[in-house]
Amino acid sequence: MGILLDVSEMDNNMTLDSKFFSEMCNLRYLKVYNSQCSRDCDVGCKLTFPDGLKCSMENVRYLYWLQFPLKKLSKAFNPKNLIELNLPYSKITRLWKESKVCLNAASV
Amino acid sequence: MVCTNTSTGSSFIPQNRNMVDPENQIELVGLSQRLKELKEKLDLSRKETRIVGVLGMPGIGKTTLVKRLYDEWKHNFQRHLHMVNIRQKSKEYGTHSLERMILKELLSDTYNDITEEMTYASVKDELLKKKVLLVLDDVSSKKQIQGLLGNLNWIRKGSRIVITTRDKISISQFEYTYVVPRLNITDGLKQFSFYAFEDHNCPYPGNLMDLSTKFVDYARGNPLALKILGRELLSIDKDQWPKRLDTLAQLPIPYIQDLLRASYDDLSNQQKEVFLVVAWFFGSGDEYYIRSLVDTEDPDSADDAASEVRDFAGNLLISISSGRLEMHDLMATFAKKLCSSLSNENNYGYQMIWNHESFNAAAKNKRMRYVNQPRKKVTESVSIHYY
Repeated sequence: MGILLDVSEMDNNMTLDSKFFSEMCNLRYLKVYNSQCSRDCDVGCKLTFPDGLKCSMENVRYLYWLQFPLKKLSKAFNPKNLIELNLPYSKITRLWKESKVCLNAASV
Repeated sequence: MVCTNTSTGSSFIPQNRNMVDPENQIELVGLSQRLKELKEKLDLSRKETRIVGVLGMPGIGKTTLVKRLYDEWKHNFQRHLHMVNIRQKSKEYGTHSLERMILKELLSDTYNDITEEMTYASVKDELLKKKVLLVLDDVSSKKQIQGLLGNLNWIRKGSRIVITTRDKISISQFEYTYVVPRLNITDGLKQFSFYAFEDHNCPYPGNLMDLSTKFVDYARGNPLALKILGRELLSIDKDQWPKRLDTLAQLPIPYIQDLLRASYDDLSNQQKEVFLVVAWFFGSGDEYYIRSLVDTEDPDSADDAASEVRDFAGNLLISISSGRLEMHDLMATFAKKLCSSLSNENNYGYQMIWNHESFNAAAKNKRMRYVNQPRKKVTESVSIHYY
């Protein structure tokens, strides 16, 4: 299962529940991008998570998220199968305290 | 500049231009070189029997190539047969009937009637009297080849057999393979120009040349795609070309879609899923990287049988060379288009949720809220592809 979201096609911002992804247990590919603007621009990622984002992304192999809106990843974040993590122009200030395993590639 | 214009007109139209119809004339773009390479594989100077598999993606020109070979060589063999559309024939009449079709043609000089009981084994002595040239076009499985050729012991030494396919696996048992290459950019532009311009000549440098090159680039050396695209553009005002270029991704070339669909349908469900993921998420790139992302098994495993990505390469849905994986633009467009048609067919046989209804349902489940009071059907403008 994969989700591909081109935020340039969204008219409005969207507020999502913190558990939005956590029930998609088979989620393996997640890409949030902007086909009109691949660099930093004012649009933002248009997805907001007022209550944060609580999910382990256990089966996610590929995670690309342009302008990831949160300052940190969830405590539950435990991407055991992650191969690429790419969060360009994110608001992230801290990834995680302890080291996590199975990260083959990461760029933020 | 990639295309030569001379004062006397095009340099690519063959000299005997009045001797052949325009259809055949243009098929000569790149053909003589390919024919030469195929003949080298078949090597008539060798005394043994030789079977050569001819491999290439739909529209690349396999059928044209082997037909030309057959026409040139059939007189060198006392018995010869050119069988076309085997994929289709096999579906219609069954693999078992293929043997009798071949017998009927090959032995027309000996028997008036081929009875139900006749097999390669039963008329082997007669068959072994003469060398054959067999050209078998568009085979889609090993089983068909088995049905067509049996155990090969009826074939007289020195015969030549040419089998075309788009599926590498079906001819993997043969020692010799000829992969029909794409047209290079120069030949691609010639092919395109023949159909897109009334005078059949490549445009002079300038706006149309730039545009033409972009169209050629899009079709990436596939002669059939260039022909269809060229014909379509001939009927469109040149002012509209830039617009058509922009819409190619959304409105791809229909006939090509059908051909690609046939290749896709031959994949297993697991392979189909991975194919779509590669198309949507990755396209072209480092082979090892993409395999590590999408293959079910570890790419370090020595067993290539476990790699879905390698399977596509066998099926020509992608190409792999020097550690780089390339998905043809046609394929990527095809795959994206396919997702929407699959959701309409609703019979894709593997888990894939792809439509706004499903997304709506998922969103409702999670009590998703929209801010700013958006229009009622906001999710229809949100392209979340879900599978």
